[in-house]
Amino acid sequence: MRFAANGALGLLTSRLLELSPRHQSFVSRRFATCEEKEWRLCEELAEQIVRLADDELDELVRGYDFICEIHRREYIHFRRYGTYRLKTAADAAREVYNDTWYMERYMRGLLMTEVLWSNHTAAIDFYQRQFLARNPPGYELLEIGPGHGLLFSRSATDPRAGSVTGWDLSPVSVAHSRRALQKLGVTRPYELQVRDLLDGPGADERFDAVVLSEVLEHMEEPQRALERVRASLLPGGRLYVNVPVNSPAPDHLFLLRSTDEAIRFVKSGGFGIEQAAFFPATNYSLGEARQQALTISVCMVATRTEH
Amino acid sequence: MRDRVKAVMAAVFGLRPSEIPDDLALGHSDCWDSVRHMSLVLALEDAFRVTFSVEEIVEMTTLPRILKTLDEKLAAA
Repeated sequence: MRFAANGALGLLTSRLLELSPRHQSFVSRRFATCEEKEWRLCEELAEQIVRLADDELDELVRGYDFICEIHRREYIHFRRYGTYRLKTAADAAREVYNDTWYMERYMRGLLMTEVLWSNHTAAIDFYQRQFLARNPPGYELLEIGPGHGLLFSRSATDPRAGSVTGWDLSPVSVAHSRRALQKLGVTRPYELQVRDLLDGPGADERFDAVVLSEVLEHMEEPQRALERVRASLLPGGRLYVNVPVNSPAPDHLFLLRSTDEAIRFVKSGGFGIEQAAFFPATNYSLGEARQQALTISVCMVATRTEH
Repeated sequence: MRDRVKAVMAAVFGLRPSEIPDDLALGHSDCWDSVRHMSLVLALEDAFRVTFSVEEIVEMTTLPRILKTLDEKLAAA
């Protein structure tokens, strides 16, 4: 296996398999078919993840174990009943967001998935090549929920970017993103603000580009969120959306059942689709994922259309 | 019981029953991952006319544990 070699990815995966050998088969298959381009991105992401972990690599690995465990429980519910278990933001706050111990492990686990789950890695590649690289020179960008900062740091260090702003409704999340960007060595100026997307933009606050990555599925009112995003964009402005279909997780509320449904949903918010790509669950083909109702990350670049 | 369970596993994993070792475990082979685990659970429920709880499903990650859980379930029925 190539990841047995030196490097950050080797470090991450070998520690994972030492502490939790049950992932051996999954990890072997995930990286067995990696081509050179994906391999380089995986190594780059692994370096960033190791930097974000500080000296707490083992905690990161335990977080990944934790996320696999809780996802398995949610998947059981999804297969039995065909729905996500939680329905409201209040449920998610009670069970997930307000539980600091739970959230810390969950966030660490999520960070590991960026390189261990091929659909997450592919979404980052799509973001860089199809969205960031095609934004107009000097573009002003807003990211909703920058979280661990892996996307935000790519925007903030893009020499073609004019300004980069992040909004999150949680002060804890904003502080977390700020620390992450420091660890990632982002020195160019950026803005991180405690703001609720649903409050909408200020009177003269408009952006050339908005990023909405893995946000909609957490919302009780995703249609309203999309309306606010549209209001935040200049006419002709570009939106990056990453929303998963059939993706049971403890804090996922908004269930989309097909890639077509995901595209229709974004179009219904007043957007034209410039480009879309579908990335199936790790170690499954797109056909298998569709047939078995497995997770597919739907990544879209959309453009604000005028009615 | 072991042979019946192996027959169900073989059908779900696309293997012959003789290819299922007595110590097969979730994640230790390419055929048994978390997605197929749930397919296996549903197939076992059909075959043995039982319903497993979430806790039981989470624990049924090896062939010996599946046999033990089924034994207990059928004895209590």
